[in-house]
Amino acid sequence: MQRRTVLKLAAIAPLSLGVTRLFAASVDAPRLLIVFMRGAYDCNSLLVPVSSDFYYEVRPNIAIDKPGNGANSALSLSDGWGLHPAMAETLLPLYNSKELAFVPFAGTDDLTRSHFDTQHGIELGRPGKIDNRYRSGFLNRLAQILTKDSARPVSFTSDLPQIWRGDYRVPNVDLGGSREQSVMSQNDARAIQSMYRDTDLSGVVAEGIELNTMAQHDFIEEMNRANGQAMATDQLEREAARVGRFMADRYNLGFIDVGGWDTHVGQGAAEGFLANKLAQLSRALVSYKNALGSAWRDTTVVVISEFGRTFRENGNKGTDHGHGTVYWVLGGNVQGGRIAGRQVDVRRETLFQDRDYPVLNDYRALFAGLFSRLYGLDAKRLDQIFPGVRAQDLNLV
Amino acid sequence: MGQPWYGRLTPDGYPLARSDWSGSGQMVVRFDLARQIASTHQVFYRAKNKKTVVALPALPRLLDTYGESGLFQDLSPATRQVMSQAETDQAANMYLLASPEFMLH
Repeated sequence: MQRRTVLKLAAIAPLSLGVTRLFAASVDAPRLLIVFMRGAYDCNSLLVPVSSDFYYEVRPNIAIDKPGNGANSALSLSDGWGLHPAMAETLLPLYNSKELAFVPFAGTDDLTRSHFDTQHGIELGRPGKIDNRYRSGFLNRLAQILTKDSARPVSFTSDLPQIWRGDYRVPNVDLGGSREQSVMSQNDARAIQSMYRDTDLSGVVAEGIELNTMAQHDFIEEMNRANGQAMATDQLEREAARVGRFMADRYNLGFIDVGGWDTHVGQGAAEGFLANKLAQLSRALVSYKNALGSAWRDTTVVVISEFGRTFRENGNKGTDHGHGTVYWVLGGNVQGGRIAGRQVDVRRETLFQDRDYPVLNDYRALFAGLFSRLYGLDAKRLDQIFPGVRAQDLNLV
Repeated sequence: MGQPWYGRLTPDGYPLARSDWSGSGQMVVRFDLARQIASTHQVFYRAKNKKTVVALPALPRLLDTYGESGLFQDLSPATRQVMSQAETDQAANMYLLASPEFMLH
């Protein structure tokens, strides 16, 4: 598939010099995908503090049973933690093969409990209050620093989210299939590219046309492959496989977001709305892994969310905006099978403001530690990405 | 083009910088819309909720029709060349709508 795609695209390639750098994607570089769960997922339903009596006391309707109480009970991990039963076929095997770690009590120092402010703040990656003078996102700054060493950033979104904004031009491609697009004919592609040749958008246009062509051909091949076979019914799962194929041979720094986690009402427990969402995302991650094939070896995926939710359930069998959350770190190069980072016993006294998980592992410190391991960045360069950061090395990769 | 009416999810409103709207994927969406406008302009003359296709004459070459008005006087040589080489009126109109002069106006 790879050679065919390359040959097909090689026909267009001479039209623009900007395209050529795409063909030089280095396969050895570590691949990093960041998944943003927008809306703040309820981490206490995923990574369940099964040894906390307080948890069962304050969540009479939505708690996940302790391990060993039948099919709907939590899957035992370690140190008093359990995993949501809907992850038995997806995340549990990854955890057991030490390719998945969880970092509980992770998050930001933002106390607004506003989805927008906190997401915006995380994507900017700056300390303290949001300052409108700063526009660039931290992945853009990372891409700028790595670019000499062959960073190939890409955003799997329909527009460019804050995390990618900045001086480095990052291509975006929407692989979700939310908008139907036709394949541009070679004549049209050639004509349009020649109009843009002398403008500052020439590289962007060439890249866009090429990415779109790739995506469309990938859709077609996907349909052909699926003929006679069962194709994943789930949209997100299919999208993740496409992302995997893009990351396998030409990009190594990606971002994608998944919304719909704001479960104020009727979130369910072992089954229900949130269980389905979590199961869907986990299946998508497994399909991403499968699509990468052997490239999974040097792949890291970090799944984040803006904040956690209230530790107690609310009157609508849901949860409200909280503080600390749980990040997931998975991949072929991850030192997983453990719960990483600073932790405390989950009791009423240890809750933040008597309602939420505290944040003991700052996201900036955590990412800085990860970047330093993955890319060998020194303190000076980490400081350019996260000003004033003190990296926290959790030996995650 | 990614800006549904009152459809911004976050309170900051749609971003205003040029770079927020000229990403590679976003440019391709623009080109696709240019193609749709040039090739299926009938849909713009359709009554709301009606599916019947309106019979309309084909669009003329916009550059020839409106060129005199000065509307397109700033086209670059590259754009003019592409326009002159277009094989069909539809293609010429698509290129005009997709041209940098039109997009960056």
